Amino acid sequence: MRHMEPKGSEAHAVLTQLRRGTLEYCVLAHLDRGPSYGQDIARALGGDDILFGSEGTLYPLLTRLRRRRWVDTTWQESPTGPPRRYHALTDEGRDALRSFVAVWEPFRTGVDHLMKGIA
Amino acid sequence: MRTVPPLVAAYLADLDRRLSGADPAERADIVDSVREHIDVALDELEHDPTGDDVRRVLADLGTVDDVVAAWSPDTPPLPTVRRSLTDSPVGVVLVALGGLALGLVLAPVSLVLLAIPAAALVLAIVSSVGWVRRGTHWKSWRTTFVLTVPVLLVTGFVTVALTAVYSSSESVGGDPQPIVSVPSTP
Repeated sequence: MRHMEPKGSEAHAVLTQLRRGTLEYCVLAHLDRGPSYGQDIARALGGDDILFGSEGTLYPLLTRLRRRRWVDTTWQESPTGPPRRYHALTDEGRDALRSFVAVWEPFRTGVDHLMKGIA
Repeated sequence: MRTVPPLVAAYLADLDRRLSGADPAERADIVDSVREHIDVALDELEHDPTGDDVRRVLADLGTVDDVVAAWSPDTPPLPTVRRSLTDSPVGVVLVALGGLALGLVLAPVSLVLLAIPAAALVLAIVSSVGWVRRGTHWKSWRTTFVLTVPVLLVTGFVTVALTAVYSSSESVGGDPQPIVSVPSTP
């Protein structure tokens, strides 16, 4: 199912704030399945317009994850084109992802409970 | 090797320039990653990219502003300037009038409860210090000061004035003597 980004400046501001807190963990979750390159991550997360506003925002995020040592990057030859940077989850990144998941479940439940029934 | 389309070159140059405040290694990393993304996207077309293809790839990437904004989300937001009632002279007058009204309400009981003018005095001193020090909540302290001073003046004046009147009436009239009926002796 394809979601569309909510319209309106207020909705956009809310979405921007939510993305800032969660998007990097979504990238970690994607990399938990195996190493991946930028275009691939962008496709996986940008399928709907909810997680990503635009694909380019992924790269500063990956740089930040590398700085925190949550992600490791290596060059790999591609059979169909130029060499690509593959990003892989480090042990620290995996720990960060587990911590996020542990907090996210009760957080989401709490928010859902409060927001239930609000039009 | 494919020549870099002018639109792509301009996009990358703009991005590089806009990231001039970033750590040089991070700046190069972001620009190279975006360049690689464009290369892969154009390569996947399996034909020489047209101008429309390039524009679509850049549109999917988002504007340079979007990318730069994503680089620095850790930057703390600018502190919000909090509005205060006493930001304007009219506000100061209104708060002072409110303090005056509060003082008039409290005046009748301030004679009995001397703690009211005393508390107003302490609060006025504390709030003036908080205001002058210009800490985080200095505007709140200023409002408190503007509100408290009229309360202090009214309740203090009433307390002092009525105490003085009461004292003078006592000194003129002397101690009231109890009226005691003395039974007549048989």
